[in-house]
Formats: sequence, C-alpha cells, structure tokens
Amino acid sequence: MACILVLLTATAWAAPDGVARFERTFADAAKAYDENRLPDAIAGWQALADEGQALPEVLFNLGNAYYRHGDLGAAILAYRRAQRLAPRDPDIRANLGFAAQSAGIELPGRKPLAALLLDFSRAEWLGFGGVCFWLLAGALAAWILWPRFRFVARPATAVLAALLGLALAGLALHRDLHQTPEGVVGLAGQKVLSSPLETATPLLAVPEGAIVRMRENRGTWIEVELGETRGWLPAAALAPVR
Amino acid sequence: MLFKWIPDPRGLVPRVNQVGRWRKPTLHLVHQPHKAVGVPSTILVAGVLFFAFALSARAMDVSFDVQPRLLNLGETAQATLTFHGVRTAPNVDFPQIPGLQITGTGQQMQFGTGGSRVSLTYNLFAQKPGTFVIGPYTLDYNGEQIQIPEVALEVRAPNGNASATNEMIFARLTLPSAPPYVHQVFDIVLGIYSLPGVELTRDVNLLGGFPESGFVIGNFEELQMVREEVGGQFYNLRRFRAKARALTAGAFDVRPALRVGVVDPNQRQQRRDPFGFFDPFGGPSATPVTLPVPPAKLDIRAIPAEGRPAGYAGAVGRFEFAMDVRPRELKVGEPITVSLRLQGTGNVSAALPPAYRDADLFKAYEARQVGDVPDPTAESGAKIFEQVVIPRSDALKELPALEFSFFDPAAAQYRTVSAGPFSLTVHPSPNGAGALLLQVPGGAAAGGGSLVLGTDIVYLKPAPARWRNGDGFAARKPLLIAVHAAAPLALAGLFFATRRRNRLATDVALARRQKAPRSARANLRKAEAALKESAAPAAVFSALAAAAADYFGHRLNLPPGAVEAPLILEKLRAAKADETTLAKWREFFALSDQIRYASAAELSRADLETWISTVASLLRKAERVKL
Repeated sequence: MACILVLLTATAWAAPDGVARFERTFADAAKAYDENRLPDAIAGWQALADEGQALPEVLFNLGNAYYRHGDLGAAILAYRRAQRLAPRDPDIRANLGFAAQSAGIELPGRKPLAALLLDFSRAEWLGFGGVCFWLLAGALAAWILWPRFRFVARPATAVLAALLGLALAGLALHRDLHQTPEGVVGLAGQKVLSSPLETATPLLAVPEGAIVRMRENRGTWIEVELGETRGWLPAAALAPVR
Repeated sequence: MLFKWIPDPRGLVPRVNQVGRWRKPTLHLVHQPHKAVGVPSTILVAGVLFFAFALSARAMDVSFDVQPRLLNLGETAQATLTFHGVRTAPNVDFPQIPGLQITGTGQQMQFGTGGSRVSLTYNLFAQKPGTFVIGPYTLDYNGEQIQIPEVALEVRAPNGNASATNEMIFARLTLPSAPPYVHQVFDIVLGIYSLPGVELTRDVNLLGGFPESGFVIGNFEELQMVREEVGGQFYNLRRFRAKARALTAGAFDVRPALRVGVVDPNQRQQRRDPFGFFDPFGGPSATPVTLPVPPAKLDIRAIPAEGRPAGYAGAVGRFEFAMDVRPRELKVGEPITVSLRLQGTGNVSAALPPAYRDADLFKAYEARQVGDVPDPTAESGAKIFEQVVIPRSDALKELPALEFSFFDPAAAQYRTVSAGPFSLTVHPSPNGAGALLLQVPGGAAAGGGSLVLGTDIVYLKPAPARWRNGDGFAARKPLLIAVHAAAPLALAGLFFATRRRNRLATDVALARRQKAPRSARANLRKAEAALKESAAPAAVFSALAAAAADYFGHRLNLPPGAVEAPLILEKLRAAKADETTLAKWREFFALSDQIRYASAAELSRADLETWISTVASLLRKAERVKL
C-alpha cells in the first residue's frame, strides 16, 4: 500500500520544464490582457486549455478575455467550464452571473439536491468517495477481525456506506452531465426548431450565451432542452460544457 | 352567457348502435315498411337499426308508448319503451327522424308481484310542425321477432296551422366572404334562429366541428340579439362570434353543432305563477336540442411568395412601427436602450419587430419583449421590445434605420415601414472599450426596471499553484481501478480466513481432521530418517506406528490411548475399504506389534523401504476414504 501511495504521489508532479512553459504562457496571456491585446490573451489561455491545462484559473481568465472581447457565448462557455471544476468559487460564480445578465439569459435552475451535489466538483467527489471507500474497507476489516468492537464498527460502517453513497450520487450526476452535457449557444439569432430541418417551425428564440441541455446528436443537428421546451439547434451553434 | 366547447360530442349522445360493444346476445331492431302519412312520413323509409344488449334468454315482452301524442310546437312528449320480465335493459337509440329529436332521459326499474320490468324513457321534441310516425320496428332477439307498433305524433304550429313548415329553431354558420390568408385574423359567427315564441336557455354548448389543428380560435362572445326574416317568417337571432387565425393554407371542412335548451311553454306558464318563487327548485325545465349547422368549406390562402421583402417575418395585417433611442449622448461602453413598438391590426402576437445586429461600431444584445403579451387571437394590439446596444467606438455617429415588413390582406400586397436613423454623440471612455455598465431591460429586476450589477467583472486569477501532468488521471486510472478492486477481494479473503480460523478454534474434530495428514507426513519422514540412520526395524516401525496412530487419532478425533488396530480396521471396513487394503493394514499392525514389542523379526533395508512406502500408500488411500 505504501508503495502505491508513493507511486501516486510521484506521478502527480509535472515535469519542471513543462511547468515553466505553462507559467510563462499564463503570464504572457495575463500581460496581453492587461494591455488590451485580447486576441493574444485568448490565444494564450486557449493554448493552455488545449494542452490539457483546462484548470479553473485558466478557464476563468479565458472567460474574462472573451467577455472583454465582446464574445459573450465563448465567455459563458469558459466560465461554465471553470465552474464545473470549481463550483464554489465566488469569482467564477460572479462573472458567470454577470455575463449571463449581459447576454440576457437565465442560468439553468436545478433541484435542491442536485444543486447541492453539483456544488462539489467531480474531482472532489472522487477524492471524498475514495477516502470513504478505504475507511469503509477498514471498518469492514475491523468488523471481521475484532468482533468485540463491532458495536463501534457497525455504526461506522453504516455512516461510511451512506457517505460513499452520497459520493456515488455526486459522481453519477457529473457522469450524467458528461453524457448529456450542457451546451452554450455560440451564435446570435438562433431559434430552437421543432424538428431537425431548416424549414421546421421555430419554437423558441435563444440568445447568444444561452445554456441548454444537449440531449441527442443527429448529424449537424442537436436536440436540446431549455426549460420546458425541447427542440433542435444546429450543432455548429452549440459548444458543449466539458 | 355560457358558451362551452365540448370536444367529443359522441360522449354526450346515448351510446347505441355500436354492435359488439355490448355483451352477447345481440338483438336487432328492424324498421317495418309503412305507408306514407303526410310530409314527415318520408321517415318511414328509414333503414335498419341495429343495437345490442344483454338480456336473459327467457320469453320477453316489449311495449312502446308516447304521451301526449298531440302537441303544440315547442312542447315535449315522452316516449317509454318497456321490457317486461327482465331485470336489465340496454340503451336503445332510435333512427333519425328529420325534424324530430329523440333524446334518452333515463331508465326505470320496477319489481313487484307482477314481475320485473325495465322502462327506457325518451324526450321527443319536434323542431317543426307536422305529423311524425315512430315505428313500426321489429326487435330481433336470438331469432325471436318482437313487434313494436307504430306511434304517430302530431305537432301543430302555435297559430294552429298544422300545414306550416317553418322550422322552430335552427343554426347557421357565417364565414368570411373572401377566403382569408394564413395568419389573417377573421370572424366566425354562429347564429341560432328561433321563432319569437320559443324561449331558449342562456347556456349554449358548441359540440366541436372545427378543425382540430391548424387554427387558433378564440373564445366565442355573444353579440346583441337581432331579428331576421327567413322564408317569410321572423326569427330571433342569437349570434356568437369568435376571432380565428389559420396557421396553414388549405381547404378545411367546418361542420359545427350546437346544443341549446328549449324551455317548455307549459313550464313557462308555471314560472309566471306568482307563488312560484316559494319553490327553491322551481326553475323551468328545458329540453336540450342539438342543432346541426350546415357544413361549410373554409379556404385559407397562402401568403404570396412574389414580392416578399427580405426582412419579412410573418406579420399579416396593418401595422405601425415606431422606435425610440435613449440616451443619444453617451460614452463608449455605456448602453443605449432602443424601444421598438409595433402596433396595429392583425396577428400582433406572432409578429416580430426588426432589431439591430452586431456591427463593428456597436454591440447589440437580443431584443426582449416588455409589457403584456397580446392574446394569440387578438385582432389588434401592440407589442413593445427593448434592445440594448453598446457603442464600441466613439466613431459611432448614428444608429441606422430599421425596416418592418408586413402583408396587408386587404390590399393583397406587402408593405414596409421604417423608423430611424437616429443620430448619436458618443464620447471616448476613460476606461477604454472594456468598461461596460450593464443595464439589461427585462432582467432579473422586479418590475421591469434596469438592474445594475456593478461596474465590471472580477479581475484575472493568478496562475494555478499546480499544473496538470500530461495524461495525469487517465494514465493512473487502470492502477487506481486495480487498487480499489483489490480491496473487496482482500476483504473477502480476510472474511473467509477469519471464518476458518474461528471454526478451527471452536471445532476440535475439524481442527484434528485438518491436522491428520500433516502429522502422518511428519512421522513418515521420521521413519525415513530412522531408516537412513540405522535401518533398525524397531525404530522404523515405531515411527510408522506413530504415523498410523497419529493419523487415525486426529482423523477420528480419538484420544491417544483409544487408537487401536481393531478400531481402525473396523472403521475402514465400515468405510468400504477394499479387502487388499484391509489385509495390508492387518499385516502392518501385526508386524508392527511384533517388531516393537517382541523384536523378533529380521527385516532388510529393502523390506523396511517397502513398508514405508506401503504405509504411505495406505495412508493416502485412507485420506480419500470417508471414515
């Protein structure tokens, strides 16, 4: 077990030269932002995100640059992605709300339990679930090995099993969001159509930056859900929040 | 005035003539040929009426009566169809008789010394004067033909003129004279014509008859009652008007029906009784009358494609379009609120005003509707939209004009109206283009006011404390899954090991049974060692005897002193060991006793080796036997 922990810890460290390059790119993008060279700032942070460094800080700053540049749809997409990684970050929440108000959209509402579970990121639920898992395994081992202490092991097992169930529920919700992700409308003047045909009846006009739920992908069309309305939007007008 | 839609009129009429819907057996009522009697007697050529119901299979007698048989127009007669000697009866419908409406009113059961009977009652209401003949009919029940005699009903006009042919009450539908266009709002008028002496109830039901899709039809409202002459006779005309709008072009069949209550004239007289108000339930009873409206065809024209302006968005009617832009003097980044007002006659609810789109010099947000949303069937109204436009540069000198196009159905052509342009004075912003003061109409602020959230977004975040390492989690995923999967396996192993340990601790016999092969192998190794050291038969056989004694002692959970050759042989025999094996064991026990206690036998090294392998073989066999 100790060997495995050492191995996991060792692999968590990035190569030093990579870290230096990432930090340099980040700093250059921030400088470009401050100097109002917004395309350069966007390119810098976008490059970091494309290289697998889609961290909350990177996505937040990318959202800011897009917002400043007047690209509300891309800004909301970046903020929303940042929020998936750091759901309780007040800065991300504030700027996302700000951008949503600017775009004239309302952020999707959630049921209380789902909102509570999504207040923790997938990584947090994974970590919490892992800890619960091993503690539960330890409690079960104690239950098996020392019957005398079952009066302690039994409630501990029940509590840990419940906590593990909570973690699994959180992970299931994140998995659901991954499989049927949210999508941000990236183009202005989009209309949700009743069927995947350009001549279909428009059901709803959605502004740029609107957040919809992407239900089904059919070629160049995606079935989306917005409130009570279900309909189709061109795939080119949507970007998934992943 | 109550005017209600009833979507499925079939649910309101007696459910008869539905062969197969009722339980077996099936009865058939057959109309008999009859000679003509006056004008209404043409009903005698009515066809065959089928109906089905469940009756007991015994002899059945059916009687039919109508009272009174002489009526003034507007009065109601009651018909009774009685089944004698039964406890149940079906719902029975009568064939259509033009001018005479027959409505089922209920069922009565009577049980007495004379036997049971079930009576079906009907209201007969004539809509015009004349003589109506009901029947004769033949009831076909399992081959038994039951005759129902004819009954004649004479209805006279109020002035006593029996030959008058004017209908007492009827309905008509009025549609637009010229076919309307798609999305054009038009009137549908339903009229109920009744003779002046006929009193109708307030409530009128519409029994469907309009297309179920492709139309938006508003609520019917009653217009002022008028008097109209039809066929030389004055009628009171009650009119109900609704606004309608077609969603698609095409030809549609419209065949509505109305139901209204006609107050019995005799009841009216009772109501005028000065003491009538003492009766809390003393309101006049009315006979519901269904009035089919002559079917009509409604043609809806498509909006022409020729001459359609590029910005046309489906508005049909006559509209006015106005705009207002405020403020006209501002700094870069500050919002301009553009009000777009659309007013007119037509499909206001579906019409959308034009709006600005993003341009190099300004950022335009989605236009949002403010104020009330017009009724989809409203003929006229107004809609107001607001749009936020934010100058990107002080080079913005004016907001361009916007054009709104609509189709005018009266002139059958498109028209375009415009508003603007609006001159602006935009000053540079001290904070640059990024300083946006957010004022979005129709946002989260209650009351429709502007919501000021702040002056800017939160500034950048510092660089992350830790960066991701390449594949990271993805690379470690198999290892993590393996580690986590090992935990349940380890727990399962721990569980079974603990259970085994506990069983061995508590079950001595099992523990000794587990120990038997090990102790036998240890003693056999001692025997081999003794052979190697001295080849003394006593030493070798002492170890072999100990191997057998320890093995069977543990195997049979016997105390050390209780392990004896006869007992072992007995156990082996009970376990159905073969005779050769038993003989070998006997020989071994005898030789062992002889060598250990008498020391008489002389055995070579080869003999001793053979005995060691023989005992080992015997013990292996014993291990496979259930003792």
